[in-house]
Amino acid sequence: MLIQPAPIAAPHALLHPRQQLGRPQRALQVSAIGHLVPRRAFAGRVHSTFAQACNIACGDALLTLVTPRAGHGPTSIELHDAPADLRGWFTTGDALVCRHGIARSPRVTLDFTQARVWRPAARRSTVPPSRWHPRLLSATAWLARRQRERSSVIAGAAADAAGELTAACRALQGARAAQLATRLVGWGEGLTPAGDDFLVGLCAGLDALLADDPARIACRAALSDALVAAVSRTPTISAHHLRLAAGGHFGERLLDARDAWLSDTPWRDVEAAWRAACAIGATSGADALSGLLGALRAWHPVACTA
Amino acid sequence: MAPRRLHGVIMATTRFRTFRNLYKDSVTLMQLAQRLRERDGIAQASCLMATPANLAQLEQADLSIDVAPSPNDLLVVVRGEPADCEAALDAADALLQANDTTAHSGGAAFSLPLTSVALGVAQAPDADLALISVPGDYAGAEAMKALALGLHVMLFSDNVPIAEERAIKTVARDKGLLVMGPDCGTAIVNGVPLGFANVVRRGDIGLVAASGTGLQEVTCRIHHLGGGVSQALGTGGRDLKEEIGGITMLQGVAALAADAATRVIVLISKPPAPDIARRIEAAAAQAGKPVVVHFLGASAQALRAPLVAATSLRHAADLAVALARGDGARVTAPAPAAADLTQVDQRCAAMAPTQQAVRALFTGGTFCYEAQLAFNARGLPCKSNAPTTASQPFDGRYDGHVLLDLGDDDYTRGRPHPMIDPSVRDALVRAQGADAQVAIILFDVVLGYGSHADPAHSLAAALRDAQTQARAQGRTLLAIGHVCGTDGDPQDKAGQLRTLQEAGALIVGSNIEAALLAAHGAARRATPL
Repeated sequence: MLIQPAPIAAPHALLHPRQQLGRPQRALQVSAIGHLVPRRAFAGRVHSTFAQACNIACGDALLTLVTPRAGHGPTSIELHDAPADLRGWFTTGDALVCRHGIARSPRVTLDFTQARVWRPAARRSTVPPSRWHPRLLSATAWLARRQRERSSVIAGAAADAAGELTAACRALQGARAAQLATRLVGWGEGLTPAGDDFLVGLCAGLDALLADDPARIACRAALSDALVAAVSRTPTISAHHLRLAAGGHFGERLLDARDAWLSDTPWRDVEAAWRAACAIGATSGADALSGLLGALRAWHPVACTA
Repeated sequence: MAPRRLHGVIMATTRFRTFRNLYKDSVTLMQLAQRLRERDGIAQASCLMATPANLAQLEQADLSIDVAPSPNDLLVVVRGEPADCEAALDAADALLQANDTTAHSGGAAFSLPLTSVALGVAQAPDADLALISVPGDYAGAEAMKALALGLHVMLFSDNVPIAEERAIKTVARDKGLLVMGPDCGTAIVNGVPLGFANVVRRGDIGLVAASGTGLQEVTCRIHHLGGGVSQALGTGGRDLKEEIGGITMLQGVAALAADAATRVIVLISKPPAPDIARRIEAAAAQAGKPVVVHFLGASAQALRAPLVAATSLRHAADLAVALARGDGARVTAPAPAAADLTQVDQRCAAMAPTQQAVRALFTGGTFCYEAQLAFNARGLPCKSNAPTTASQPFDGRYDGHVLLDLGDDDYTRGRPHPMIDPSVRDALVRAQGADAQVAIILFDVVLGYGSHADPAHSLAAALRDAQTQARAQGRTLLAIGHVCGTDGDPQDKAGQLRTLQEAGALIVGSNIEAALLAAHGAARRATPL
């Protein structure tokens, strides 16, 4: 993961961010950080601000300040008792410098010292192969209902490419999968294009089904290489998520949805996890679940070459 | 689509507007496009991020535009009557700029205002060093611009032609400026870590090194021994070649000699060209302070005071700290602890007859080189993708002892360095579990700024997987490694050590100890009990 925590380029500016006069400082406690977030020291600048999230550019990577409702992520920083609207406290371009667990920006001080580290647990499928097919049908129907309410290019113009990508993964054609993945990168209207969200979900699913199968590992590696090579074709925020996915890192909600499906739990529990995942963004969550579903279809146990 | 309110199809035109670094979610953009399509005189409208994939879609929809925006630009394209298109774009502008187009969306991104070194200097007039990390084709020109502005240069970029390197360094020397690099990944200047560097105590030992991980190993060891670093300067890997003449190392020696805060100087490099070595030793002898010299793999030769020869990276640090404390230079070369040797003997004794080979998977190039020297010294044949003069080039076949530098171009093309993204190494570690030849896996873990936030986590998992696979086939593996880092590094060194030890790895205090233990194990396996 490309987190560059060192104050390398402009130590004067980064080490001594100018205080903005006339605005009060606010101290916020960080309750949890993703496992890729440097705990003690990093330096970055506010890249983009939203009501419930604020991205900090840190080298090639983004660290994301989030409210507890957002769920954990590998590079997320969860704020305890966060302001209602982060846009009032962070301005694009602000420096944010963390030293010894205390990060300072012109208007906010963040205390990392009590933050716990969120780290996803490694899980393997416990669903008997005989129950895969009914679960796939249930998930497909569930997602189709969701996509009728809010659709994206993944259910429209990009559906064929997404389907072909799934088929290439099933056939373990790494080069073909890489080619199709590159085509999907950046495809879709929004902040994180739907094609990218699909790819993130696909990677999350594939990672859980590698089964130490060298052919699958090679296919997945080809996909990662393609994503890393194509990140310049998509907006910075989405590029960050693609890089994470290429390295096998995903957000909590997506992993919960994946693991719920793969564990031998009642379907209502799977639905609850999928609903939570769908709540991410406008269509991002649903598009990622489409990718996850694609992976589950592609590497169904009966297709395993191991 | 049949535009109900389009006045005249013949007059239809395509107009667009880009909004730099403006982010909206897809539903907001689709709703906006729908509102634009409902306007009089508009036949088609699309609002999307200007990615290549989306631009291709626009072209298919006959909404192609003749500029090349960035993927971070939001693009609004409308097709209709000219005057109505302009009005629609104005309306889109107003809607997009409103903070609450929807309750959950809307964000503005920071656009880096600094697009040149000169602009940076204008904003930070006190700056005296430029760190340049651009593709090699452009790095030389950027370095020259920085030098013209009176800045020292750290040139992170590689692939700079050697003639260009010489030109840059000559200009810098004439101006009294220092160029660290090209391909310089590590330095600590005035206590500020640059690139891959560790959090070390400030002190009175100054270093000049043509080796990034070598510099990290020595500075970490100095810190561990309670010493401190005044400056740690990188030169780039080619500085001591004939073509460059050791310009930066000679400048570094002169700078540290003149630096009142530096009491002891340490020089680290792979073997320089003989003439360059003589010039550097002559300059170092004039420094007026003790100088520890470690040219990895150079034939042992007597150095006269104030020069002291070290036999390994760890030895260089041990000597430097002793000299800084006035303890003299009677520091013996490091050797593995008896308890570690016993453990290696016991683990090797329990191995299957097929298990003869060491597979070393390094993220640090100098660690790989140092380990090969340990194998060479014991007469153990080995292969490497970055071979010493006594090693064989790696031919892609995992047969016998193989020591790999995974930071080499062969393994980093199109992907981050393994210190940043350890997945390539993790995969190779796992693969060793299936190889009946493998007895010992030798590895390094490099902490500090720039490195992966938790490299031990995935490596420990890979080691466990390899061990599990080997055990399933009636074998047991021995993993030996060392962690290059300090207790001040962002990754929590104690936790990293614990994670690796819990995975069954034998962790020692330096690369040379790990390499000597692996070589000892290899020799044991070559002579069955």
